Amino acid sequence: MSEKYFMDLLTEEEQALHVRLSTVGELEKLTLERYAAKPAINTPAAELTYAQMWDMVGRFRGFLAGEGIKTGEKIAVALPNSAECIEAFLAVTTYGAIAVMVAGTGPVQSKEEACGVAGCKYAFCRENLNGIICWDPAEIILPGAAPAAVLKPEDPVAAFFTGGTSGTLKCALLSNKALMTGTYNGVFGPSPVFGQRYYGLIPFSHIFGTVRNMLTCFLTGSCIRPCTDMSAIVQDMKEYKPTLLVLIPALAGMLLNLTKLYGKDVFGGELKLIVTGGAPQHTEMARVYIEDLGINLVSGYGLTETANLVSGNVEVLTHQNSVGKVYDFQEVRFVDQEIQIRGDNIFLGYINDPEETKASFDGEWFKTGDLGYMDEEGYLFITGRIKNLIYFSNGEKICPEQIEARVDRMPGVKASMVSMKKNSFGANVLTCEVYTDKDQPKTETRIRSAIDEMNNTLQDFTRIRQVVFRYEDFPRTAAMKIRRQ
Amino acid sequence: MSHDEIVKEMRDILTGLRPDIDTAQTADSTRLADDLGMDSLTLLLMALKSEKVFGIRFENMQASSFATVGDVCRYIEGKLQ
Repeated sequence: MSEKYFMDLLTEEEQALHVRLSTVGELEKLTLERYAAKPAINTPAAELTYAQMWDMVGRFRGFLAGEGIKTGEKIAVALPNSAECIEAFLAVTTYGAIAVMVAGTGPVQSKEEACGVAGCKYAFCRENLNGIICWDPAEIILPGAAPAAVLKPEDPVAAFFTGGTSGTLKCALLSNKALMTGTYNGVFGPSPVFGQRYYGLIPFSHIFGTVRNMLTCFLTGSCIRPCTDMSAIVQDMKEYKPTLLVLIPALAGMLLNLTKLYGKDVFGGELKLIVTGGAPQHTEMARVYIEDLGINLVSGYGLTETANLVSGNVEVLTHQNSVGKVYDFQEVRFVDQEIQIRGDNIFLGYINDPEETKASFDGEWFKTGDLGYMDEEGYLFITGRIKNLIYFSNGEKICPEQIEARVDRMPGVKASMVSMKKNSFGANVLTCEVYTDKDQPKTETRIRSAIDEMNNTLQDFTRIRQVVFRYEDFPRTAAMKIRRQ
Repeated sequence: MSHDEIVKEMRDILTGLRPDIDTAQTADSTRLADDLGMDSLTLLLMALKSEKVFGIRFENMQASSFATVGDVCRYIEGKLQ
C-alpha cells in the first residue's frame, strides 16, 4: 500500500540489505551469514556476537529436545528482559514449539493464570509455578546445540497476551509469517536503521518489545542491551550509548524528565531516534525531542493481533494526530468507522477461545475495535477506542474490565468501574469506583480488605490505589453497559 | 540536617518532579504509590534528584523498598549521619 513511501526512507544501500523473511529460523540463517562476528546482545557483564547468541539458542534447543518437547508444544517464556529471555524465545520459536510470552516481573499468581489461559505445561521461569514444569535458565544444564526445525510461514510460533475486544485475558497466537511481516515493517524509519544500538526497555512479553525492539534489532544487524533493572537506566545509557529507543509515549515522557536533571547527555550522547507506539503520541512531547533535543521521534499504531505494526508516522510534527501510513502486506477497510485489517500480519486466533476468535473476524478481516478514518493522502487517524485500555509508563496496559470482573464478584459489590482518577493529592492513580448499598460501613470495610487482597495478586502497576464508594448506579448506555467518561 | 528539614527538601523535590500534585500536605505518612501516584520511574527520578540535593548515594532504588515519604527521608537521614 505504502511500500514506496516507506522504502524511500532508506538509503539505496539499506534498501538492498532489507529482505523479507518468512520464519524466525530464516532470521538465524541470515544473521549468521551477514553478522556472525558483530555484537547481538550486550549486558554490563558481557557482549555476545550473533554467532555466540545463536550457539546459545542452539543449546537451548538441545535442552528442549532432551526434555522430549514435541513440535507445537506451548512453552511459556516468563522471564524479565534479559539475554536468557531472548535466547529462550529464539530457541522455542526455531525449535518448532510456540513461545507464550508472559510478563517476567509479575507475581507468581499472574504467571500461573497466564499459563492456565494458554494451556502451557512448561515454562522458562525463575520461580516455581503450580502445576507447571519450570526451567530456570540460571540452573538448567545446557547440552550441545540442536539444529533449528524446518518450519512453514503459516506455522504458529509465538503468543502474546492481550485484552482482546471483550476485555478478558486472551492469548493471541501468531504465525511465523505474521511475526516476520511485523519485523520487516519495523525496519522502516529514518536512516540509518542498520547496525544500531537498541535498548530493551519495553518488556519482551509485550509484542511491541518482541517485534519492534528485539526482532527488528536482529534483522538490521543491530545490538540490544536488555534492561534488566529499571533503576539501572541512567548507568546503562551512559555506558552503552544507545542510538535507538523503542518506547511507550508515557515512558518517553518520563525519560524527558531525566534530561531536565542531567541534560541531553543522559541518553549517552549518541541517541538519534525514538520510536513510540502502544498509545497515542502527544505532539508537544515529540516537538521537544525533535526541535529542542535534536532527537528524531516517530510513532505508530498496531495491535497484538496484527503482529504489532499497522501504520507508522515519520512526520509527527507536520501530520499531527495521525498514526501515519499503513505498512505493506496488509489492507485496511472501515466498517461503520471501525478499522478492519486483513493481510500477512494478522494473528491465527486466540488460544483456547474459539468464540472470541470468531467474534473478532468478519471473514478474513480482523475487527480491531478501534474507530478511525483515512485522509486523501493515505494518513490513518484513530478517533476512538472501544477497548478502554489504560496505559502505564512502563509500557504495560490493562483492560479495566479485567479488574472490574474480579471486584464485581466481591460480596456487597453491585457494580464497579476502574479508571485513572485524581486523588486528594491531585495525583492520577488507578481508582476503583464501587457501587454498593448506603450506610453499610462494615460492607465497605470488607470490600476494601478484599481489594487489598486482590492487589497482592496483581503486578504493582495494576494495583488499585484508591477506592471510592457510590450509592447509586453508574450512568449506562442503551445496551446497559457502564458509560465510561 | 534535621528530619523536618529533609522532609521540607523532599517536598521541593517532589514539586519539581510532579508539579501536578499538591505537595504541601506531604508528610512522613504520605504513601508514594497510593497518594502520590509514583511508579518505579518517578521513584528513580526522585532518588536521582535526592542524590544531587543531599550529596548521597542511593544503594537501592527498588520501588518496593520505600512505601512512604517517611521511609525515604529516614533513608536519607541515615546516609547523612
